[in-house]
Parts: sequence; structure tokens; C-alpha cells
Amino acid sequence: MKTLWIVLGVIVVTVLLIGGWLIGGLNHVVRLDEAVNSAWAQVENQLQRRNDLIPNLVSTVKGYAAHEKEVFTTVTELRSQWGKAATQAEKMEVANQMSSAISRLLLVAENYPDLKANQNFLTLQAQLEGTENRIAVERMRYNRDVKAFNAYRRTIFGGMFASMRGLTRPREYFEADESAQEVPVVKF
Amino acid sequence: MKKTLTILFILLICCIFAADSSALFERFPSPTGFVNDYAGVLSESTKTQMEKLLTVLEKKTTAEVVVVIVKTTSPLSIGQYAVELFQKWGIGKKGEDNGVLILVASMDRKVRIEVGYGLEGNITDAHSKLIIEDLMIPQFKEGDYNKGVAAGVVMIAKMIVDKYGVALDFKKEAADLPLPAKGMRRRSPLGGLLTFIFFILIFGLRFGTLFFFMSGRGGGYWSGGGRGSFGGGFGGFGGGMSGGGGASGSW
Repeated sequence: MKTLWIVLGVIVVTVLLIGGWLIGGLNHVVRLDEAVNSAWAQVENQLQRRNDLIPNLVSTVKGYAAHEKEVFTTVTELRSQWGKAATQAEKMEVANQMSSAISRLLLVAENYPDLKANQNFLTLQAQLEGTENRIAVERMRYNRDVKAFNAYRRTIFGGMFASMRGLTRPREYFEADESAQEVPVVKF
Repeated sequence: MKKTLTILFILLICCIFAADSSALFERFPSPTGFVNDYAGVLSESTKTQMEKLLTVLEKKTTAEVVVVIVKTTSPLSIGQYAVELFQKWGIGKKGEDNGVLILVASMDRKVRIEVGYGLEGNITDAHSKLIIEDLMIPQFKEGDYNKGVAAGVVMIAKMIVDKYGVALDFKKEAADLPLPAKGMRRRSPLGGLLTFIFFILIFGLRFGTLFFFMSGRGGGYWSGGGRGSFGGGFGGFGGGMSGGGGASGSW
């Protein structure tokens, strides 16, 4: 009789342990996924902040270099594209293009000493630098969270938990655009 | 004999692991207070005075302003180093994120002011940039770290005091700090007035009065004597975070 109770006890404990493990795993994968979502929201936040600086930047530079039409149109176009971007991948693409466009615009501004001395422009530059730095930081944190989720998804049971929660795809890293590394050549 | 060998062997393994892990942690030093001069460029009295000022500031406003001076931040860039150190030390109160890190890399000749989330609205990137360019770098160019760092610290302290609306007698608390005679940049009295008006329009009363204060009152408030003594170990910071806000500069 006693053996029966012991066996029952063992079964109950085993079930509880397995249950605990299952719940733990399912919760963990969801938390990792949510961390990625919230980190992305922060990235978008900073990208939006940069976008908001664009009109002021464009009008200030235009005041000194009105004929540099190409840089202005690119930046303004990208700004409206950002508004229309729906998926995360689209947003990443627009953001990277915006980074190159802004650096091209600032490079052009280098050729106008009056513009460089303009108080408003200096403030804008500080704000842009600050925003770029913030974007870099949030991006780093986002990639960190993506790494944690993706790595977990690839572990033996992690993958099982992930698909049990419907999280079947790995998250995308926010990579810097290769072309952003090239220094543009300004022709006259 | 065999037992001794086994014990020695185990100790050796432990030492190897310990050394390995300590190599990782060595990257970021541990704080000793609000002022942390790892490059040895500040004088004892400047350090003591700044520590005193920042301690009082923290008591009155809960904001944590930390000064860190290193020789170099490599292999990280100053921006990366600042944001990681900020997070590792948890500067500022958790939730409020009211911390500021003033980081100087003396051999790299770079300086950065990293502002926590909670203070970004008051100490904007533009403010930080101006503090760096107008107050700190001119002094660093002369090789005067004491004046440069002190000037940055006092200005930031003043901005925090303004934000929290508390009273801090800078005459008393910052009395012995070496501060530069010149204030923020100003071309002519008229230029100063126009700049003042311009900044009031753009940034509101707070920043405008900042400029006016610095350009007009330069000599007045740091004189007289004061003393403070501090002891005991350092407990650490509040666990706040920064998002990469602030500004950098180099000379």
C-alpha cells in the first residue's frame, strides 16, 4: 500500500516539475520577445525625433545654400517615406537612408562658413549629433535584445517554447547601411 | 602528499578562473565617490571641493552628478564608454534617471557629458555642447583640468538646482573651487543682449537667463572660505539610466 503512495507522490512531483518547467519556458520566451518589441519602440522614438529636426535643418541650410536642391529633396522625400513605412524592415531601410542623406547634407553645409557660424545651425548640429547618438544607443540595446531572443529560439527547448507561443520567426537585427560608411564626394 | 597536490591544483584552477573574470570587470572601474579621477589630473583640493558640492546637490535634489576622468576610453569610443559606464554604475535614481556623467579622457583629449533620461529636458544636447565648448575645452586647451572640470560641474549643478527649484548657496558650497574668470561666449554687449533674446525665444526663460547669468555675473559668486570633511566607504548610485543624450567634444 505504502509503495502505491510513494509512486503517486513521485508522479505528482514529476508532473509539477514538468509543469513548472513548461510554464517557465513559455513565459521566458514571451518576455524575451516583448523586450525586443519595447526596444524597437525606443528605436522608433529616436528615429522620429530625428525626423522632427529635419524641417528646421532644411530651412536653416536653405537660407545659405538654396541651390543645393538635391540634398534637400532627398532628405524631405525620406521624411515622408518614413511616415508611410509600415513594416519594421521598411522602417530600418528608410532610417539607414536618412542617415546617409543627413550626413550628405551636413557635408554640403561644411562649404558655407556663414552657415557654420549661424547660431541656429550650431544648435541644430548639437541636436542632430545628440539624436544620432541616441539612435545608436537604442539600436545597440535593441540588437542586444534581438540576440537574446534569437539565441533562445535556437536552443533545444527554446525553439519548442517559441513555436508553442507562435513566435516562429527570428527577429531582425538593425544593421547599419554599408553605403553609409562611404564619404560622399561633393561636385561643383 | 597527494592531498596537498590536489588542493594546490584546485587552487590553481580557481586562480585562473578568477584572473579571467577579473580581466572582464577591469574594463570599468568602481566608483569611489562622485568624483573619480583615475588619470590623476585633478588636485586634491579640487576633488574634495567638487565631491562636497555634488554630495550636497544629491542631498538637496536627489540628482547624481558624477565626474570620471580616465586616461583613455579605448577600445571603446567615448560615447560608447560613457553610456556603458553610466549604466554599469547606475547613475541617477532608478525610475527618475536624474543622473549626469562628466567623462574626460585626458590622453584621448575627449570629453563627454552624458545626461540621464530624466534630465534631458533641462540639460539638452545643445546645453551640454555649449558647456563643453565654452567652459571646459578652453581650460583643457591650457592644460587646466581643475578649472575646466570645475566649471562644467558648477554649471550643471546650477541647472539641476534650477530644475528642482531648491536653494543651494554656491558661494558657500563651491567656495574653493577654481573657476575660470570668463563665462560663456559673448561677442559684444549688444551681441550678448541679442543672444539673450534669441535664446529666450527659442528655449524659453530658463536657457536665456543661463546665458545672461554667465555673461554678466562672471566674477561675483566664487569667493570666501568653506570646509567639508568626508569619510566612510562609498555606497554606490541609484540605478538610473541614460539613453545616449548629451554631447561630446575634443581638443
